[in-house]
Amino acid sequence: MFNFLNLNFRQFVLLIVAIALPLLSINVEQKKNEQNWINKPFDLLVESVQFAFFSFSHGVRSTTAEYLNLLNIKKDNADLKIKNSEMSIRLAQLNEIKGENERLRKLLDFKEDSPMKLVAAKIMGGDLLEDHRTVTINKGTAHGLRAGQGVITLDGVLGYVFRPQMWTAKVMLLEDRYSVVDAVIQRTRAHGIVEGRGAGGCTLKYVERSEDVRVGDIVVTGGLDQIFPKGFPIAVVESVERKTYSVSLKVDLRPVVDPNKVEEVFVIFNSEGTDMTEKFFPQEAKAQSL
Amino acid sequence: MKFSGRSALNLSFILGFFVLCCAFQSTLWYQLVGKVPSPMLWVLVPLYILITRETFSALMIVYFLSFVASRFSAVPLGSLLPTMALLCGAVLTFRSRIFWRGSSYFFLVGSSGLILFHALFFLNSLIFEANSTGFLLIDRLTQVILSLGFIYPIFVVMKWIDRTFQYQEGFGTGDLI
Repeated sequence: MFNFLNLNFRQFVLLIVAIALPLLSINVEQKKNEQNWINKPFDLLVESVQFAFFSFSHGVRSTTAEYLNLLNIKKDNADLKIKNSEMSIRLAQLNEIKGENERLRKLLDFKEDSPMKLVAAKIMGGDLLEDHRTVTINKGTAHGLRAGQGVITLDGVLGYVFRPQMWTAKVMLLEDRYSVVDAVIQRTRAHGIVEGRGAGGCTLKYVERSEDVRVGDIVVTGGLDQIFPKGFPIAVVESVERKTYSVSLKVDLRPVVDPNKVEEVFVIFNSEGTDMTEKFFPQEAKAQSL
Repeated sequence: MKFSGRSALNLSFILGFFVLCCAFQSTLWYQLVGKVPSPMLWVLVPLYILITRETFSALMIVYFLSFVASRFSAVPLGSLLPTMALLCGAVLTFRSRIFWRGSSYFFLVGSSGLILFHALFFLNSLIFEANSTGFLLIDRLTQVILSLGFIYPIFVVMKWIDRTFQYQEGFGTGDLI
């Protein structure tokens, strides 16, 4: 019977199996929701291989991504560094502008509140020799400056104009050894003359020996020289020495204004009759008026 | 002293460079560095003049430059010129006894001239001024030390000016470098 196909038994069995298997698979497919036991090992194998490949590819992809990320991070880092330095510069510039703004606002308020005629100026440079203490400001005779005009800051006296030029002017600082300013001790009203000592601050001269001068006393302008308004702070008393054979005290002073920290100044055009005591020492001014 | 258009141009450029040195010292250095004493470039230019010119023209140029320098400072001319005259005397005497061509000679004269200037200025002030200047050792020392770094550049520029305007007259000119 089998011979019309010219098959032996083994071949016949294989043929039957070949036909039966698709039929069986049809039967298996018909019960989709059921997990057939025969599929399980294959599924497991497939899963395992798939997982292995997935893990491998995932690993490769992750490593590649990490490497690419590293490259990107490096680039991002460089970009961020540039941005950071740009921002730092901008921040510093903004802080500088903010500081300048605040300073200029204070200067403007001071100028508006002041009864004196003031001209604002900026400090350009210093003296050629270390033996002298002068600064150059960016206003000169073209702006109406003339020799002998007082130069002040918000905190106190800086010096006075001694050589006005067309567009600039040289200002002699209180510390210069050629500088002389009329002054009084704010607490006791004792009169004296402030003289520069070069690099070492200044001295209050011609104060009578009997006067009560203490360390920490504030020395203000006397107003007699018509250069500065009366009662404007000049310096603080640093030391007082009573020499045996001298009629006057030796008073060392520390100027209230540090010229190295000043950028903007005011040149006084007219200080006649101006008294700044009330602005700087309101309590003392009240006591004086009583 | 033969005064030609070339030497006038030479002098103009020296004056221009001298003013630049003074402005650098009093303005740029002040704005950038602030409190630190500035290098004394303005003394180095007269010192170069003193070792490269005839005695009389060197003195005249140095006095003229000193006058210009006094405009950058509160220093009175009556205090600065005697100091410069003494400095000139010292350098010219030294030059008449010891001289060789080259930047090393300018370095020697420059460095010792700077110290001598400070010493002479201090002594001058101490003797003739009622309120004399301070010793200011640290400031003066800092200035001299800082100035040492500028001696060679100043020499190169001054030499360039002399070469450009083919400055011929005077003492010690020629291939100094």
